Amino acid sequence: MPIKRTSAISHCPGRLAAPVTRRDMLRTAANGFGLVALEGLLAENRATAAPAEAFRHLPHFAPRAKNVIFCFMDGGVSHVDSFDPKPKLDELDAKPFTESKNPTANGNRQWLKSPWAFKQYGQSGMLVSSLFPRIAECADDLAVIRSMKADLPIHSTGVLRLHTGSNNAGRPSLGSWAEYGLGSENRNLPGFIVLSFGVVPCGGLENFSNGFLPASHQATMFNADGIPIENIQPGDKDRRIQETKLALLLDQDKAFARDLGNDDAVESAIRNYEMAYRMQTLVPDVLDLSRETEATQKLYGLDSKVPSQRLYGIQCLRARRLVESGVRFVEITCPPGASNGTWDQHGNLKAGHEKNALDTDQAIAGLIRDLKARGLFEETLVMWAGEFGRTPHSAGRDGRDHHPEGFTVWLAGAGVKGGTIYGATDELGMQAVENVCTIHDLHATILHLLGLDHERLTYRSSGRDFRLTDVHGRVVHEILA
Amino acid sequence: MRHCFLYLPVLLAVLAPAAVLRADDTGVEFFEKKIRPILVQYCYECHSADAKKLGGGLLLDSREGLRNGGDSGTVIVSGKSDESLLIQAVRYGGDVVKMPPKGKLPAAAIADLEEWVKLGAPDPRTVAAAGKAGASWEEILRVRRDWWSLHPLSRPVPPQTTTTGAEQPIDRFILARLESQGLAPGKPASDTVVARRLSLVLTGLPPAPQLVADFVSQSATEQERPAALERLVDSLLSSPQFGERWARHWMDVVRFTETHGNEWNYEVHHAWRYRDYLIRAFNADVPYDQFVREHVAGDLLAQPRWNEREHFNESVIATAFYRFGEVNHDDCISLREIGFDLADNQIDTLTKAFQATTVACARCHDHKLDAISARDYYALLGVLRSSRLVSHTLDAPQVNATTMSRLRELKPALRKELAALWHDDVPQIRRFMLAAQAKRANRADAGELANGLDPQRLEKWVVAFAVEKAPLEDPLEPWRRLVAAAGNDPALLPGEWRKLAEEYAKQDRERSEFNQSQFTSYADFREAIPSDWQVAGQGLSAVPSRSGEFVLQGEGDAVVKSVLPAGRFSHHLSERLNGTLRSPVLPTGKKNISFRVMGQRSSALRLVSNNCQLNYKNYRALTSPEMQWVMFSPPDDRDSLRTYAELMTMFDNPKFPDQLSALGNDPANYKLPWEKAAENPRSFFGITQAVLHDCPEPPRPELSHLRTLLAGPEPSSFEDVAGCYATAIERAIQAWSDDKATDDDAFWLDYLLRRELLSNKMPAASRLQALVAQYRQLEGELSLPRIAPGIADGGAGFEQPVFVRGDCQRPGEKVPRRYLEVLSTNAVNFLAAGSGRLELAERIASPTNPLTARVMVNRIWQHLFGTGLVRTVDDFGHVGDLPSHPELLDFLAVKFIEDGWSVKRLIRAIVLTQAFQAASQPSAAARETDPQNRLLSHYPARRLEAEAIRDLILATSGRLDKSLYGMSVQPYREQEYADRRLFPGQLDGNGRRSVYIKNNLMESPKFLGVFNFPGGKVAQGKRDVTNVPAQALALLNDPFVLQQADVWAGRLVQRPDSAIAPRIDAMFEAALGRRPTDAERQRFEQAAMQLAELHQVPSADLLKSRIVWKELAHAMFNLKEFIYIP
Repeated sequence: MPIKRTSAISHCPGRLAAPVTRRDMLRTAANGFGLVALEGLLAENRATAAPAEAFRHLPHFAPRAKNVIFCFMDGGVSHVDSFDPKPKLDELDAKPFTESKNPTANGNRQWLKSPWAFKQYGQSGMLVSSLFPRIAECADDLAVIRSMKADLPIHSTGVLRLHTGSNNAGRPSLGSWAEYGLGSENRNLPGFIVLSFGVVPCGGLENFSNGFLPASHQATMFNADGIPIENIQPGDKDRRIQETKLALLLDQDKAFARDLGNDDAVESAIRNYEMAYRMQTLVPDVLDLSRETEATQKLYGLDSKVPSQRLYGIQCLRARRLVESGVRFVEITCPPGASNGTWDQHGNLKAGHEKNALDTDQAIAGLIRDLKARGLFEETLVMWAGEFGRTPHSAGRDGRDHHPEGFTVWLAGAGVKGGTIYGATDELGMQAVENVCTIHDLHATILHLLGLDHERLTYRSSGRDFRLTDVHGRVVHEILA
Repeated sequence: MRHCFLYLPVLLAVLAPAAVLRADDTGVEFFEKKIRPILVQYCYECHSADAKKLGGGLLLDSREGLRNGGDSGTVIVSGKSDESLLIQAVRYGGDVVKMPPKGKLPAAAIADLEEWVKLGAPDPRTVAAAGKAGASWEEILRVRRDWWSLHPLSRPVPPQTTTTGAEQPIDRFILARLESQGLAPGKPASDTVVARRLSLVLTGLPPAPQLVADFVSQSATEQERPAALERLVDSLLSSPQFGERWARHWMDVVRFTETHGNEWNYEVHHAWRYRDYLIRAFNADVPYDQFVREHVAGDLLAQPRWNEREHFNESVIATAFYRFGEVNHDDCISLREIGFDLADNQIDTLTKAFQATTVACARCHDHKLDAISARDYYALLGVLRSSRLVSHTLDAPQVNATTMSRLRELKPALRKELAALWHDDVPQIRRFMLAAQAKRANRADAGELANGLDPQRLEKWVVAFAVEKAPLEDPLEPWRRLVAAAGNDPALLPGEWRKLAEEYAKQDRERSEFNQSQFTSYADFREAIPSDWQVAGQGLSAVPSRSGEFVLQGEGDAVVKSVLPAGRFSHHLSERLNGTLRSPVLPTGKKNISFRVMGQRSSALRLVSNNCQLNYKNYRALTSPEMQWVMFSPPDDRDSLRTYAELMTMFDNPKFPDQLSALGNDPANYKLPWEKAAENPRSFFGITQAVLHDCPEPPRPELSHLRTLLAGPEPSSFEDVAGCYATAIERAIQAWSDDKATDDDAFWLDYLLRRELLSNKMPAASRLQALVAQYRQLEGELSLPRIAPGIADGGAGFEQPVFVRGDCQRPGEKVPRRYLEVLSTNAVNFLAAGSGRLELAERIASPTNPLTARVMVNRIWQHLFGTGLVRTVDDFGHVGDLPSHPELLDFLAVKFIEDGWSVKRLIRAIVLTQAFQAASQPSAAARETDPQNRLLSHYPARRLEAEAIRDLILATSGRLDKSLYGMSVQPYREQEYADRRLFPGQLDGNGRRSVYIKNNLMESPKFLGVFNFPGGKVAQGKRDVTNVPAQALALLNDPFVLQQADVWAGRLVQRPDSAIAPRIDAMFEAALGRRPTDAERQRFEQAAMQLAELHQVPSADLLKSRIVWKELAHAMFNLKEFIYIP
């Protein structure tokens, strides 16, 4: 049974009850708020705490999506083995291929047909390979873009480009832009969260960086195993001890702030202690999956015997809970695999891709179903993408190399026209040839769904106004509902 | 890939709601920042002198045009935006024309235009557009040259002020501005605050309590105070911790990092030496102009600064600043942006660091606002691309000189003893060969033949004979072939011998002919290193090795490691010595180049293109101790890629330890921390020659060493054949013994020794043993190479073409190497001879350069007051801020230069001002008039930087290890993540100051990262200062903070206090540099008792309860005051 959204929200600690106007925000964020809030907090009168800074910028137009869940397929899924069938490859299989100028694809090469069979799914009759049987069942919810084009066949630049629109590090991540543009909906949780398996992707943590945006927009990493966030576990086991210290600090810091003429920075820092204090309990609370029914847990594959599959399921379920709690942008990374990205199967394609698909397929499909059941699917955008595809040709018989010239991503959920196939690669999956879609186009589309005009969402740094999409980007209206 | 495109301010109303004129700003700034860009972007196309078709007769590209209006009349009514046609048009309302026709301006732009008209439409454009807009660069430059930071330094006279007491010229400048705004100067801060402030600002550590006490007691009277203050300042300036703190400030500017990020996170090898250089330089107060010269061209200085104590070149280390930042390891020949992005980052850092100028914005087109042309950019790019990124050996010539000459002197004696040893082997060679052959064939007489022979040596012969498919040039191959053909029937031997000799003669001839006809000598190292090759490192410092030079084993029973042909060998004295050889830019004409080389242990041979240091293309790890040919096909456009060849030992190798080393078949150092991988410092390479060729294979091995063996009379038995071998070997030994060995002789000996067919063990108690022991001991005394990454010239200079729109595939006109036109009184090009970096250094370090002193003075001011006089410390251009006190800035810049560019003197003068010593409480009037405190009516209290917070915790807990210098310590991490080169480190970083924590680009040290530790990718002279919950979480819960609270508590409970109060007093003094007030003392006492109760500690045990004091210590670390500069 679909659960009404409102009931889910109202029980979620920290979730703002009603939209806050910009004026309200300015009023409540004025000097002195922090002191009042922490005092209230320590008096255990939490209801009186005023809402924190929110909706820094209102959207440019009515948003279709309020939240994004980005399933990052690190390393590059093979498009010709997943969502972009190429029967022609069967004909040419093992015939020599000689044109490659790709520096990551040296050696004597030959065409390689897909080891997986494709089948039609849903009313749309979308062709999906046997790698993703569960996601395939959601075919009518997906808008598959088969004509993606990235820039270089290099992991670091590819991953950075997918996340930040730039080949080089230093720019804000998509999630940071989204949070910067729309603000957070929960005063006690970060607005951009990366669910991490401890893997530092190529390009480094810069992929999740706020770049030149204020640091509050950087991603907060939640670990899959163990302690979810750095320093979230209270150093004091006994809550009263921490509260005693906080009370002492409050008195001292108030006096210090007063000495400095009600210094704004000191007061903000005091306010941060309030949020930190609350996060200590709220974060474990939000991540507590034991509150989910057994059926829900199963839906995500939490009963799996395969540890990585189970962990990925946990991450997807956590993503739903976070989005439900008002987190704007959640990215789910992949469980550890090949050293340059889980899906980076230069060799061992069959076993490698099958393992990765097993890890992610059920949980992602489960996520889509669960979002739908809860009425969250209309306002949550699910994005499935890697930094590039994989070559339709190969040096061996069981591996594929990096392929940015044409590959596949898909979107589902809020504002997306399900059962859509957009764009195409040539008959061998080499080049995106029809309705070519760049990473900038993808970003422009996602921002559009969030109610943000990618040309107007700018930030001034070092004397120029930066955009996620640089000077490019076209909203792919064709896949929008 | 990078678009230096200046967007118009859009959405400004949202992004910077209060971005209106500050009271002290001029309309000029508003025009330049807001209005001119709008006019250029949206209006000039139709309303400028060079519009294809002038719209409505209206010119907006000059003040006159704007005032004259167009066909519709006046467009601006000064002060009245609603009545101005221009405003009506852009508002798109009413029945007037809608402009711009293509679409309405962003709301913010319209608001700016309105604001501007209300201000009276200030328009500083004095130069008419001269008949055509999009004016020539000369005209644009003439206008843009007129900018405050490009004007020569003025010599402002300190103004008179009405308030008394301000004697310092610096204070008079500040006071005059305050007075002009009707503000009073701040009251003086207390002595304890001044002491803490000074200590934190100058050293980044809290003052020793004694230092504060002394200062307070010595400054009791007004007469004594100035001297006491000067003593305090001088003692802080002369403490070694001063250099540590100010080095770290500068490290932000040069984007210091110790790894390169990207995929494999390669080391910036020896980066820590640059950090130590900075610490020494700031402590020694190296004049800033010298500091600049060393950074830009420390490798080219006629008289480098030598570190007299350590005997190394200081100046050259500074060039490491070019080398930080992110670096991609991919093939930069097919992906050539990699090299240009790297150079772009270098230009960006260079020009921001020393000139606060954003030259990198001119990569794709002339700068949109500043006086920088694309030609300027490419002139500098030419300078950098005429230079090479190298490993500099720092050691002075005298380092190891005595030891090396003593090693050299031991060689003849060793040779004599070895020759004697081998001569003794000769008589038995024949018997070994026959016995080994019999054993191999399982013949009945095998045992008898082996009688009296060393069984181990015999086994070695058996193994050597058993080699299958050996090449023709293998000295034992004739024997093997003869055995195969006639082993069972010696009668066949003479015939087979004849056939074999003919076959060898034919092959010998063919190979020689092939080699002579197909290959052109490129470089020959057998006589001398070709003069156009660059050579570095002590391993290559002596004359070339002659044929027969030998290398000793570093340990074990064996004596000789190699007998070498003539050539260059980095290890001819010791494998502990380093070396690098670099060719000129490779010639075009032939497809391939081959090198005859040897080497092991992370030594490498590679072709470097476009200065890509981590490139895997054309990179070969050297893994063979025997000579071999290594062939490359250099890129066709090797000229414009500046491709050169490089050989280097491990310490010099920038790819060591190599995450991809498995590709080079040298997996020994794979995925280890540098210091671990370099634990065994032995590494070497050797080279004899390099040849150019079109054929797809390198030269074939020649057979000259077998000519004499096969030239003799036909043998009638295998005994005869063995005899021939014995004779050949004896001849080689004799020639070697006489120091007349040829390469062939050396080859024979090396071959036999490598297979242990000649004696190579020291007889016990022999003279040889004594000599080897002596040699090895001396070798152990050799100090290891000291190396820094840096830059060097690479032969004649190179004229870089301008890339059209920054696209490296579209080269345009070539530009000579020169400095920025706007900073050159006359645009003189640099000398053709080299890169021009030395001239570049002189232009920047010149007292007449208007930017250099201003920029550094401003950086120093920022570190003393939290904000620069110009807030945008890295940008003094049109999009940067204007100085709050322009005259003071110039006054300080002139003083800085006249004081010999002394950083310490400048700091001293500034911190002795009243402004620096003012209290940090703003007056009500100041908060109203000057909320950002730009006028310094009070001292700006502020949060400390990440490193200082960590250092303060360590200093307060007592864990701080004040030792200076050295290799960095790994930041805290529990798990190894070798794929990204992240290795475990201790929670407390071994107590070292944060400046010694390894600065890893992949993952900044976690605790520091929370407090805005900078990125290491681009110059960042001003740090972000965020204020986020993660900081509260870190101080509340980070295991490091809790650990240090416990360390401190451990010390506190040892104190013989008889009550809580004195202990709390001591904690305040240690943590905050002051005593608590009565109220505070009570507050802490009460908290102590509450905590004791919660921990169920009886009050009698409170003073001894480590846990209770840990809680209080932890609370102390969490005080805002603790992490604030007061």
